[in-house]
Amino acid sequence: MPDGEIVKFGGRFESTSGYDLVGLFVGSEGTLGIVTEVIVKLIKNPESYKTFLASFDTVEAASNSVSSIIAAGIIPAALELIDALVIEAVESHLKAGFPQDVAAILLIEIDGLASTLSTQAGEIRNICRNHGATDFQQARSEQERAQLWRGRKEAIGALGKVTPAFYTNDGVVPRSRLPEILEFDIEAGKRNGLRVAHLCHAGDGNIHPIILYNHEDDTETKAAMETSREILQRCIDLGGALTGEHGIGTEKLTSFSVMFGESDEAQMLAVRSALNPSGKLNPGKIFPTGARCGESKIRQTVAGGGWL
Amino acid sequence: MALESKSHTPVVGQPSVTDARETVRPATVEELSRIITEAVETKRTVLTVGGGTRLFAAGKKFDLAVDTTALTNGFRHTPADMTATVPAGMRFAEAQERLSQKGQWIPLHPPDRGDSSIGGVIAADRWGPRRHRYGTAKDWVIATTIVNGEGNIVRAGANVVKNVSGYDLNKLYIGSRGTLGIITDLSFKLSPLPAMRTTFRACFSTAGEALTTANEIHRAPLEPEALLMAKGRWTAPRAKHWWLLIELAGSEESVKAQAKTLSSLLEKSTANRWNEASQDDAAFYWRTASLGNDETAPIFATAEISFPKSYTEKLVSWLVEISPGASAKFLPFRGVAIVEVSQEMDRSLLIDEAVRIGGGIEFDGREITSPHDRWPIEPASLSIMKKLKSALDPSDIFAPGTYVGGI
Repeated sequence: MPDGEIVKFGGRFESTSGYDLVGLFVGSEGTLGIVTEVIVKLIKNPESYKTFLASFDTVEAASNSVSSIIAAGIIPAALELIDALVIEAVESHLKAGFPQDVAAILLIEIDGLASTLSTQAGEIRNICRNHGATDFQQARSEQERAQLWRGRKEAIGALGKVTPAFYTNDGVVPRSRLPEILEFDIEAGKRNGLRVAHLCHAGDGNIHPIILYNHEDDTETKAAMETSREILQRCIDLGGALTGEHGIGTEKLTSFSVMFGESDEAQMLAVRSALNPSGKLNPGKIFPTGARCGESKIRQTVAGGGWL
Repeated sequence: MALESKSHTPVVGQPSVTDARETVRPATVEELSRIITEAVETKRTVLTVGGGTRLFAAGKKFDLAVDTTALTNGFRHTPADMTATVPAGMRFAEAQERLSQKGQWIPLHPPDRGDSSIGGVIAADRWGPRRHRYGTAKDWVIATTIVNGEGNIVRAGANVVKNVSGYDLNKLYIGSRGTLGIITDLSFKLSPLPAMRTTFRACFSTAGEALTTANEIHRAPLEPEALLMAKGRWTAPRAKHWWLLIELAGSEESVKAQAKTLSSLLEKSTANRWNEASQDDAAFYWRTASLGNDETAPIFATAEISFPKSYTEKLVSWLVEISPGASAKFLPFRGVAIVEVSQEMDRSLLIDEAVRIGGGIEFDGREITSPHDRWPIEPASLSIMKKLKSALDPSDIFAPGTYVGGI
């Protein structure tokens, strides 16, 4: 804690009495205390899993398939959308076996009891086909599965080879709004003269639009920031959130008030003041302080890298 | 604005509004906000009452009871997102009924006789046997609106299933029992309703045998919805045996395959007897497991013990030793148990044991009125909780003195 006290919340069990301090600390971005040790709950490995690769002619068809899978009550363990720009980068550097000449692919993994999976697999295949999937493959071996996931996990690195810099964003929308936001992202990029690639945790409505730009060109850098701002604003307009995984940090300070009203922010600040009264822990993180225009601040924080 | 009062007939056996000098029943969040602002100005204490089933007033009197049961507008279910926003005053059972029309549900399973409000269920963080698979409210609440201790309407979270924007204040409100503010609506992630459910029940002579079989079930290719180990009032009241209650759920194909696996596992186990229950019997078993058997005498108190899962076996034998006749129910793979506490029982024994195994304990019973006895807690955490309480309810109007450590 800021006064140097060492405190332990929770333990090797699930429930604790009183306010859920563990829950409050998770995601507090170092503004309430410094976490020195965590105890995590583990879960049993699934009995089995199946991994699929579905190809589509349009991003829209892919994102509509995602929405339909969720609407059918199927919640895959992973449901990733990867668009042509990313595929091109991956295939030119890694050869993960992603199909070329497609607009987008879905990487889908379901896990659980073997007795459940075959029905779900059939439903997923039908949904993708109904939305116009041009191909639907199942990984036939552990090696094939590993290869596909390698392509997904190393995609961000591969992108570095096709653009001087890129800015990865992290917005969230309600799952049914995925087709809309993906279309918007690409349009927003076009309006600002930039290309936007996509690697999304689509099943959660968590998008990672990747804005390609040249960091040495001031106009392009500004255009990248503007594109990002427009995308986040749109996420909130669609009933979503600013960040699904990466946090607010300093990067999204300027968008904070787009999502939260004054009293919402005051409530969070009251919590911060209670635990970190001097504000010395991670000052300048999460909460916009003073003037709410931080274009120049943001710029310093955006490196030519990604975090997925 | 003048406070609106309504006449209210107290329900027998419930402390609810008898503990307050006046009751208000706001119908909108804005009205509630005005009521709280005025209560702050006039320094009046507030007790929040939903369905009233788990109210804990610690024997105190309050100036104002806020009955939330008229806050029922604004139910919104978006099946395609698998999320819903539910007004706090809506009955839990009604919300589930509405969601089920689109084949979805909030996968919580609190003890409920039909009158619990959704706000009350979450404020008291109630859970039931299906916690085995689905966890607790903390795993399903994605957004909340509350009126805080300054009368402000505050929103946290969003109707999305993944979100790390700002502090996760939802977590603070869950289980806070109306001491940080009044919840006015809640948004949930939802789960698809399983196409089929079936229940098995097996009877064992000893706790050890029941636990051995539970472990076998856990290791088998099965995904039970609920797995409860119980004795006494939560199963068959006068029997000394330990029972396992297992619920399987999912698609018809999956449930049938699992039922076959489970049947053969139980057949080979040391169970004295076991059966797959009819639907009516299953409903009765689970109701009893949640609410207790109507034939048994009223309970003095219960202790909810949280413990490291590896300690399950030792805890069960320890309990049988110190109180052979007491009823108990365990969720062995969640590390939680509810144990009957008699008036004669030395509660400090239970507290010491919970502390020794690195676990936690909460007592629940109308006779146990002191928050210190009810929620033993270590001082460092308590001091942080007190700071949070002062931050969000600076005038200390919300149910003062009723919560952990006298908060």
